[in-house]
Amino acid sequence: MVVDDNPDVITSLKIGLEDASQLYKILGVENGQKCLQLLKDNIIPDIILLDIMMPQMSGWEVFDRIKENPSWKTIPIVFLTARTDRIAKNAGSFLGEDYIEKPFDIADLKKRIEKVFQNKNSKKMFADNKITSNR
Amino acid sequence: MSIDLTSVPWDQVVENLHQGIFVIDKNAKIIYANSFLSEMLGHPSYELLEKNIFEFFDNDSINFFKEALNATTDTIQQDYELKFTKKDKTTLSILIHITPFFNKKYKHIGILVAMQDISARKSMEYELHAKLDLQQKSELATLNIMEDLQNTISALTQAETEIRKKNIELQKINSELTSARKELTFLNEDLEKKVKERTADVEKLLKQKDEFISQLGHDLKTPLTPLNILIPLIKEREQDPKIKELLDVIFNNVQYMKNLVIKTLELAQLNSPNAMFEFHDVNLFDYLHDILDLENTLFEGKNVVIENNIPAETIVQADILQVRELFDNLISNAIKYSKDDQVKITLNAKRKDDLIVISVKDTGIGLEPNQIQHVFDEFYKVDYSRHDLKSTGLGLTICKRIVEKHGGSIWVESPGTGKGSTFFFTLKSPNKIVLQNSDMQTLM
Repeated sequence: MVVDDNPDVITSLKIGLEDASQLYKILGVENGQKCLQLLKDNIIPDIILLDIMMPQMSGWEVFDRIKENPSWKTIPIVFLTARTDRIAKNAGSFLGEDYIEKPFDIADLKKRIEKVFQNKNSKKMFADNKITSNR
Repeated sequence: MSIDLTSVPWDQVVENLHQGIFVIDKNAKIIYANSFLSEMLGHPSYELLEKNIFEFFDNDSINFFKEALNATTDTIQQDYELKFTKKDKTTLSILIHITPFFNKKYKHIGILVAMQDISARKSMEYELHAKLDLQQKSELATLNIMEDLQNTISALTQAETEIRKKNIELQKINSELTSARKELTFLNEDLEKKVKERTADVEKLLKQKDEFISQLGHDLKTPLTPLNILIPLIKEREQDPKIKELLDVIFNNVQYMKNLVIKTLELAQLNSPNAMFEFHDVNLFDYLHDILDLENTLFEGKNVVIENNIPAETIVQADILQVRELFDNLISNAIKYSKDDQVKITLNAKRKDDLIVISVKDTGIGLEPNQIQHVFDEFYKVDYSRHDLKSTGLGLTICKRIVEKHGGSIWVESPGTGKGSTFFFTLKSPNKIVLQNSDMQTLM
């Protein structure tokens, strides 16, 4: 799921990620409210690419809402940000799974997404192991 | 009824007269003295009679008598004042009236002297004179004093007038000064107000400038994202090599714009008074060892060897993100400005007092002395003749700001064109913290 108020960003990601590799299925969402609505409708993505600076509801707020909810909080979130200041960098890297600065290139984005999935899997494995040992 | 004057006993009259009477003959011998005279002079009549009158008077008085004795007519009747010294040495003031005596044949036969004691009168006169004198003197003194006083008063009056004049002048000057001071105070306040206003204006403008650059930068980044993603995709799908070449030109310009936006934002943030830094103790060797693996994105397909000669225990006080930026800029510069594909970069560090001097040495194109002066200037590019899309002209300016924010300095040395260059910068070494740690260790 890509949440960004700029439709061109969504379009280029669709072309760059979905069409080029066939590995990803992109769901473009133009604002935070719609993103949350989709989650409520039980459309749960593998990863959310979340823009920070959006009108009405900012990326921070969307992030908080998702992480508050027990059934959504395991969804990995990567911030897409045009902000380069320290607050954004720190918050992006500490709060989210990762952050990526605009303008980014597809190769870099792919690398980061794959890294997030790897981490998720290893965490899951770790959690599974824990459960097994408890038994 | 008339009295027969011939029957009057004249000798008795004379004897009892309340005035001293002498009768002296031609030879100045006293032939008669009445009792009042005897008493007055303090000589009994037997001491006087038949004696020369000169025996009793001083020389000045004698002359009066002699004159009278020598007179030929009775016209000489004169009053004299003279002194007489009594036997007891007291002095009398005497008024005498001398009348020559003539017989019936008009022959001068002697003189009649009438004497009157005027001592009391004289002393009164004297006192009066003395008093008068004193009065005169005191009057004179008073007059003098009055004159002096008048002089003084007139001098004072003059002085007063002058003082008044001066006072008026002073008051005028004072009022002028007061109004000048008021004006000055007003001007000062006005100036202060204006300076404050201007300062506030400038601060506001600077803040607006920062905000503007920041906003513009962010606004430019978003539209660059689709371009950055889509152009390589189009190039991939395109078969025509000429169009592929054109797409490269477009993509390089997009990359340039992207770099310019990123660097401008970085510089704006470094210039901002609100720029936040977090200083930590960083082991430079370990840190660079970790990040150098990531630097290969900067290599541009060249054969780059980075030699990390930094001593293992080099600790500096630094902001990690900013130091990363610093090394990124210096290393990418070293790669960018090398003619051939073989690039060797040597990193080193030396301690100098409480500073660490770090050097980044390359085998690149080197610098001329006049270029060395300007490499840290904003938007300076070594080679203007080349349309250089790889350089924003801001990288070294950013390095300079970062080093300055760390309290250090940055400089470059180069033996000349084609001979490589070495960039040096200083960072602080955390002496005190190291000491504290060792203290803690000894305590433990």
